[in-house]
Order: sequence, then structure tokens, then C-alpha cells
Amino acid sequence: MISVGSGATAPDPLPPLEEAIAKERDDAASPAAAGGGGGERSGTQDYQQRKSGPWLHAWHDPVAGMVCFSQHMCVADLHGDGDHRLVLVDRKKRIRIYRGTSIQWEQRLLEPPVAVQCFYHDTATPPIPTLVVAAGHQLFIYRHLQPYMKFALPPLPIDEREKDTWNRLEGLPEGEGVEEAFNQLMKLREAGVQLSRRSMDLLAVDDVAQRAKTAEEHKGVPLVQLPAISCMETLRQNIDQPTGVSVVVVAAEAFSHKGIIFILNPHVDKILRKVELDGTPAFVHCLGLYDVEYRLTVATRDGTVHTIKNGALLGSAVELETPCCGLVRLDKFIFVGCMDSVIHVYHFKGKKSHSIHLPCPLTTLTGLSLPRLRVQRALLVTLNDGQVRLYGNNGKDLLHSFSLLNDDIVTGALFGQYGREEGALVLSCKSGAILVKILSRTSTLEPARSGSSLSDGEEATGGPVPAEQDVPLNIPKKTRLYVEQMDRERQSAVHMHRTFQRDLCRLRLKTARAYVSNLVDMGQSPTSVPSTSGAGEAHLSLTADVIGLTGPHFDVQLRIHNAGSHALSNVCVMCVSSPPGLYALTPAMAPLPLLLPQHTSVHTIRAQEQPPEGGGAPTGAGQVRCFVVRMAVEGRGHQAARPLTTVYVQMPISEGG
Amino acid sequence: MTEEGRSPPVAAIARRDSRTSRPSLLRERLNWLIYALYVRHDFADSLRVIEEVLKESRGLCEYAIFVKGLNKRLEGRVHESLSLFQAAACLNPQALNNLKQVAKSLYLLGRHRAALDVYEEAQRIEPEDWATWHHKGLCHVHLRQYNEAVVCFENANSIHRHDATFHQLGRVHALRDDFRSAIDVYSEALEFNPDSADLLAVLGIYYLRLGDTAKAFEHLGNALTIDPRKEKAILAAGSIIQDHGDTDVALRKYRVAAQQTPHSAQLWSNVGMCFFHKEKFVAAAACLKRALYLDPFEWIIAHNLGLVHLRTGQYASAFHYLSASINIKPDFPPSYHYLAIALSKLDDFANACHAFDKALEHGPDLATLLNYAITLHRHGATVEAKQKLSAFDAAWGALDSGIRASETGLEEQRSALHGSLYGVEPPSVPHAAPSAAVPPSAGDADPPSPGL
Repeated sequence: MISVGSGATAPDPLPPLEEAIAKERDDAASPAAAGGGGGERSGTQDYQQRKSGPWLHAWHDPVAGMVCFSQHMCVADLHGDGDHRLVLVDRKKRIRIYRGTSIQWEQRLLEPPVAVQCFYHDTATPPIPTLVVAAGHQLFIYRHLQPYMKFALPPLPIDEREKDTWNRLEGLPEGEGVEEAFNQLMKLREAGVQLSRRSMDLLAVDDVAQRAKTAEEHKGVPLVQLPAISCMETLRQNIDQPTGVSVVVVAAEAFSHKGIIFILNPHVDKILRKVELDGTPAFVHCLGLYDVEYRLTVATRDGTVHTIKNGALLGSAVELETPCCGLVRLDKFIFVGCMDSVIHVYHFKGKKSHSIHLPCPLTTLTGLSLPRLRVQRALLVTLNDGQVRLYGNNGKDLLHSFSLLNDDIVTGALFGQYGREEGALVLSCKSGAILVKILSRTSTLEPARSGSSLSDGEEATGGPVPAEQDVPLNIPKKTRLYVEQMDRERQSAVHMHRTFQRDLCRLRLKTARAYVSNLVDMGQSPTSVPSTSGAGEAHLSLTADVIGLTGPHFDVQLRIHNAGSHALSNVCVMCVSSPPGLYALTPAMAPLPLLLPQHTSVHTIRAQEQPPEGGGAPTGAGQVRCFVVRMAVEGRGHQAARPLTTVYVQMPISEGG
Repeated sequence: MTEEGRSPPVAAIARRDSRTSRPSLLRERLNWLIYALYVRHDFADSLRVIEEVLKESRGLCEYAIFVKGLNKRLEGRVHESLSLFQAAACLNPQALNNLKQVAKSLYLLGRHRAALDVYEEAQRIEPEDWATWHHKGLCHVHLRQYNEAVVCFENANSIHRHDATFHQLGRVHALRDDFRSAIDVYSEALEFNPDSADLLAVLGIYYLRLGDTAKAFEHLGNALTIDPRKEKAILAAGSIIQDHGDTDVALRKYRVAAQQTPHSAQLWSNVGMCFFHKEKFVAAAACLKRALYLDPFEWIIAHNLGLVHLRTGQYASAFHYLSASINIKPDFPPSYHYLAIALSKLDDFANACHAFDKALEHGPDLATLLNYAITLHRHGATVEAKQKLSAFDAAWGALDSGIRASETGLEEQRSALHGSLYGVEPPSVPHAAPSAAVPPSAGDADPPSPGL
């Protein structure tokens, strides 16, 4: 079932990648050559600049078709020939090995992989590493590009009482004892016992018949709760060398929202240590030597960073405000990338150092560490607008940044030795492209000057004088007319003021006259106004809105629109609570202003829900009934009220208080 | 502790798995992927995987429901997220995370009391949780129960210190006008996180509120050293610089802020007052008018516009802006003072006197008194003018000689008025020169509100 790639055993004198890199070096050395020679590799040329800051462009495959996260990538000297291969796995259940610029080997996986790692299981010469792929609850181990063995993580311990319950159910015929078991499990859950997934499923079923069916499905299947691997790392056992033997650290989701970390021996057949965690691990970082002293930094999905020292969980944890999307350790500092576009930097003992604010959310966080560099460690951050940024000085200086083209986003980044180049950066993109850049040997990784070598001026966070300071203010322009008007006002301000005041007075007078004439008109022609008839002739429309979310105070806003052609006076609004006494209404009755034709007047009534007599919870929602009533003077000064229109306002349920 | 991994029952299970018998398929195997996509803000992909998982697990995968709720909430569908979190909590009522998210959705829906109840429940499971205390505090803030909120935030900080909690605690103190306590909170926060431009800027603004300009400037300067684009700090620092008369520096700072927040009314008001100080009145009026357009109900902008027009001799316009300012904020004596001057220039003597009286209701002010006296004198009311002048003299005499020496404009006008009132010089001379009538004080520039 295994097909080993043809180029595995007989290496070419100069693999294609080396050639590409060598050519890049030449180009970078002579700027004149960098301009020419683009014709033969125009695709690459379009995609990325040859040389961008410290990065030399090495290789780009836009149709690799693999979308990998950082944990899906690793580089290793798989054949012990010093030529490091790139191992990629992806969600489409493929494992692929690149040698130079070509695919060396590809295979199908059984399950969607979680992570891939290469490590040395013993000290042989030449050292041949082991490849391990984690998927589900299993680890698939490959040696010499052959599937070698599979290791399944052990099931998690289940409470004895829960086991008993299911065992009893096992012996009974279908449908019997399910209710009893259900109640038993419910009791266990209330007592705070961590139940297995199967019990949770049963408890989630409401319907009795369905419950029996669910229980029946599980009969004959052993009751186990398996851990689901969420990340995997390796930790050197006793020698801190690139070919030192390593143990495998596997973090898994145990019960829901709980986690467990297994440390497996180098042969991956035995569990050396097990640490339980309150929270599912999302990222793990290992430091130290297993046999001497080691520290695991674990970021969980609920935003907590725990430290495990020599197998013991330390009490101090860092709590983040938003979930973590990347964890890197450089030197004594832990970099935690968070969902709110901030990277928090902590001292490894838990004290916060500072934060790096990014312009948009980050996708990956990778540490760069090369002893030959002047700035030995740097932080590589990829953002979801396609930027790839390099930070130095513990994240305080932005060293360099470049962007991917065509709105592509980096999904996975890996820095390590590829081919014979020790400072290679492999980027996997959302479009399925693979991009390899190499760190120029002459680069010193010095901070970029503000705005000069960066793609846009916005990124210079270093200097205290921002570039915007030299951008002139956008002051609104004024026309010559404006200036002339100014002069005119200066000369005849008194006159203008007086004219204005006079006109204002006139306007007021006119308004008052119009108002009075409206009143007088109505008085003169009572027959044309619906004073004797009811609402039929007064074309009023009444709409109501309730303002307020949770009570107990609400505002009922009435909009009264006079759609008729005559003004209405002597109108008032009355409100009644239903059931009586549920709402205190202020004002319960109010006169309305003159309702002008084609005009809407707004009237607000405050409704306060009253607590029911004798305490207790509020009885629920009621109604507020609003009536618009016209007070009419009938013969001999006798007053009569005629309702014009009515609205019943259904009130929302108040949340009490 | 070691454990034999390849024990027989597991091998049996593994075989069963490969035949994909439905119940034993590891349901949580894609949870890592859901999480990874979600935290990368790849919400569409994340939802696709969630739907896949939910279909396969017949809607029983708790974590998938949980992340779907988070996704929906980020999309703004809070109601939907609430029902998803409630479903997750139904599957696993013991999980703290589910309860916390149910409560947070309730909080976002404005149902603060209900949210508080759920947080209480969460605290029964885990009393020592920073986030629960913090969010409980937020609910109390919205219910205006500030004392309870302070207790909650302090509890949260005692478990684990966070910038967010410090910010909220400071804000509660500021809401109660207790800037002293707010400053204490922010100072403590700075010890914990000394490089936060946000904390420094807010601390500076609170010092400014207390009138401690030196300290305010120190903190604002530090904030700007860390993040030179912090617009809050720029505005506050700019207003201090402007008060010291260094308008060119202030304008350079405002240039940076103008790139960040080009639609800030306060910014354009301050820029306008800078130009006013530099006697570029057309530019000043243009900037102030833009500010007024951006925020038509900000009284200080109308007031500043009134000042500019008074200075350029456009008394009719000045009258309008000043009366607009007074309509919005009726208890600011300088507005009445300047309105009175405008009215006196518009030959409305009676109303000018009314306005002067109104300005003096809040206590004697030197410039007001002197201008009152000048106005009275100009309109021939010599007796009243003498009264006001003697009132002014009394206040003037009580001043420190150093201050008196610095107010040369007042002194000049005073001696001129003395001359004309008591006949030493011809009475036609005293005229309220605009420079004395309108001391161009950058103090009228609006200090920006902290906006937290």
C-alpha cells in the first residue's frame, strides 16, 4: 500500500530548490541583474518581489492545493542526508513530502489530521527521524516513509456509578429500565460527576420513547470516553541537540471543556506522564529536557495560559480577555496572540511585559530563532489582510512587513531548515499556494526606518514623531463672497440686526394671527366640524409605540394624526390600565393641543408597572387602553365626551424589579 | 504514573471505529478545527465545519453549538446566540463556559438582571473566576448600581488583574464624579501595565478634569511617546499646549489627530481656536463652522464662533451664535458677557445691560465689570458707569500686583475710562477695544471628553 517516491534514495547533485536559492543570491547581490532576468520566471516575479527586506524569494507554487495550519507543517532531515524535506498534511486527509521544489511522496491518511511532527526516537547513525501524525484519538507513526504503527490514547476513567448504571441497562430487554437509568444519571450530574458523552446524550433526550431508542443504540458497545487530540509537540528527552531523542507531548480534549496532556515515550508505545487540565488545550509549547527539567506552556480554548513544570500544573495562570490564536516562546518571553488583534507578551513566570497592537486580526504566530543572526530571535506574525510582519526586540520593533497579493491569507507558517538552507520560511496560504522565502544571510534584522522601506506609512510605530504631523490640515476653503459678506456685516451690523429682529417679530405676529384665525374659524362654522357626530367625521389616526426594554418603566408614545381637513380642538387623551391597577399611568388624562389638519402630534404617557398586592412575582403583561376623546359643549353648557378613536396597547412582559 | 496504552479493549474500540459504527465515532475530533478557524476570524469556514459536525452528531456536539453561538453573536445576532448557548447549557449544565456565555448574551440584549442571575449561578460552580466578576460588574454599571459594580470589579482584580477591569472600575468612579478614586485606579493599573497608551491617556484626562495640568500633561506626553497616534491623548495634550499659547505645536499635534478622527467636532473646535489665537479669523470661522456642523448641539463651539465673530466685528452673527450657545447652556457667565458686548455694539443698550447683569449674577468678573462700565459710559449713563468702575477698582485692588501687571489690557482700559469719566481726558476716547473686550483665551477651547 506504500509507494515510496523515486527520488528518495539518490539525491541529485544540486536539488532544484538549491538552484533557485543560489540564483536568487546572485540576483540579490547585483541589483542590475535583479531588474532583468524576470522573463523566465514571470509568474514568480508577479507574485512577489525578489528581495523584500531580509527575505529572499525562493520558490512559489500557486497551485499546490494544500491549505495547512502551522501545526500541519514540519521540516526534517527524513533520510539522514542533510537535505531537509518539508512534510505537509491537510484537512483533505493527505500527507505530502516536498523535496526541493518537487513532490517526493504523497499518501492518503485515514482521518483528518490534527498535527504532524518529526522527531528522533533513538540515536542511530545516520539519524533517521520518526514522523508522527495525530488524528482523532490516535497517533500514526511513520518510519522510512512506511506506516510503522498506530497508537491509540487510552480511554478516560469513567465514574463507577455511571458504569454500573449502563451495565445494568445492558442486561435488560429493550425499553426497560431506561427511565431509572435516566434519573440515576441525572442525579449523578447534579452531584457534579463528570459524565461520559453517552450519558450526556441520553440526558439531552426529552422524549421518553426516543430515550429508550437512544439507550438501545448503545447496547453491546463498551462504554468509553476517548480523548480527542487538539495539539501535539515534541520535547527533547536528555540532550538539547537537533538530533536528540524526543518524547511526544499530546494534548487532548477530555470531557467537554476539560483537557488532558499525555507525555509519551520516544517509541510512542507507553505513557510516561498524564496531566489533567481545567480547559481544553489549544496550543502547547515545550521547553527544556524531559529527564532534567521541562516546562510546558499550555493555552486553553477558554483563554487561560497554564504552565506545567516537570509534570505538575503550577497554580499561577494567565487569563486572557479573548481567545488565544497563537502561542510562541522566545527566550524568556511568551507571546500570546489573541483574537482581538493584540499580542500580549508575558515573562515566562507569568508577569506581563507589554502588548503589541496589530491593525487587523492575526492568523499565525511563529518564532524565528537562528544563532547566526545579530538579532537572534524574531517573531513572525501573519495577519488576515495578507500581511506578513517580522518583529524584533521582543516584539517592540517592527522589522519588516510584506503583503501577499490577490487577497491571499497565510494559514500556516513554519521557520526552519529546508533543503540545505537553514533559515527558510514556508508559508501555506488560503488559496492553497505554498511560498518559500529565505532569510538573507546579510540581513541584520535591524528595525526599519519609519515609513521608508515599508509598504505604507501607517506601520511605523517605532518613532515618536508620526508622519501625519507633516500632512497639512484640511481646512475648509472660504470664497471671496464670504469675505465680502463679512465686510458688509462689519459696516452695517446694526442695520442687519434690526432688520432681522423686526422680521422675527413679524413672523411671530403672523403665526399668532394664523393661530387665532384658525380658532375663530372653527368657532364660526361649527357645522363643518364633527362636533355632534362621532369619530366617523373626525379623521383621526392613532398609533402607539412602547418604549422600554425590561420595565418596570415604559413609555407609551401616541402619535395622533389628523387626516381630516379641519382642525380639532378640545380634544384630550385618556388612558386606562387593563387589568386595572397593573400600570400606573401618568398622565392618565391629558388635554391635547389643537390638532391641525395633516399634522401629527406626539404624546407620551409613562406607564409604571405596579408590583402585585401582597408581593410575589409580577402577573405578566397587560394592556394600556388609550382613548382620544372630544369634549363638546352641548346645549346649556352641559359637557359631554365623545370618543373619537381608541387603541389598545399590548405591553411587553416586565422583568420585574 | 504510567498506563499501558495498547490494552485490549482499546484495540477493540479502534477496530469498531474503522467500521464507523455511529455511536463510537469520536465526536470531538474536529473541535480543534472549529476553534482554529474561529480564532482566525474565518467565520464562514468555521460555520461550515460546525454544520458538518452537527449533522454528523445529530445536533448533539456541545462544542460546535457553543462556537456557533459565539459566531452568531459576532455577527450581531444576539438572540440566536442566546438560544444556542442555552442549548449548550442544556446539554451540559455543569459547564461554566456555557453559563457565562448565556449570561453575556443576556447582558448584550440589555437584560441585565437576568444576566446577573445566570452569573450568580456560574459563581456557584466556580466562585474564583475573573470573567464572571468582571461581567457581573458591567451588569451593575448598566443598572446604575455603582457600589455593587465597584465591589465586583475589585473582586475580579483580586483574582486576576486585567486592563479591562481597571478601565471599567475607573469609569465607574468617573461616572460618580469621583476623579480622585478613578486616578488611583488608573495609577494602580499603570503599575501592572506601564506601557499602555490607553491607560496613560485616560489618566491624563482625569488629571485634567481635576485641574492638575502638570500631571495631566506628563501622562499625556507618556501616552503619546508610546503611541503617537492616540487621538484622545492628542486632543487633551493639544488643549493644554494651546492654553499655554503654543498654538503652532498644538496645531502640529492636531494634524495627527485629524488623520485618525477627521469627524471629531472637538478637534475642529480646538483647531479653530488655534487659528483664532493666530488671528487667522477666516480659517478659525471655517474650522469652527465645520465643528458646529459635526456637532450642532455642542454649546462651546457656538460660543467660540460667537467670539470669533465678535473679534472680526460681525456683531450680528456674534449675537446669533452667542444666543444659541446660551440657549443650550444657560449657566456660563462669559457667554452673557460677550452677548452683552455684541448687543451694545448693535445699539441695543437695554438688552446689553440685562445681559451684563445676568453675567454678574454668578459673581463679579473683572472684564465684565469693566466692559459694563465702558458700555454704560458710551451710552451716557455716567452715574451707573462710575458705580461699576468703583466696583471694578475694588476687585482690581484686591488682586495681586503680579497678576495686575500681566493684565495690561485691563489696566489700559481702566485708566482710559478713569480719564474720561472723571474729566482728566476728553470723554470721547474710551472705546471698548475688541482686544480688551474679548481676551482671546484658549481656555475656551473645549477640553475633549474622555469618551470612555
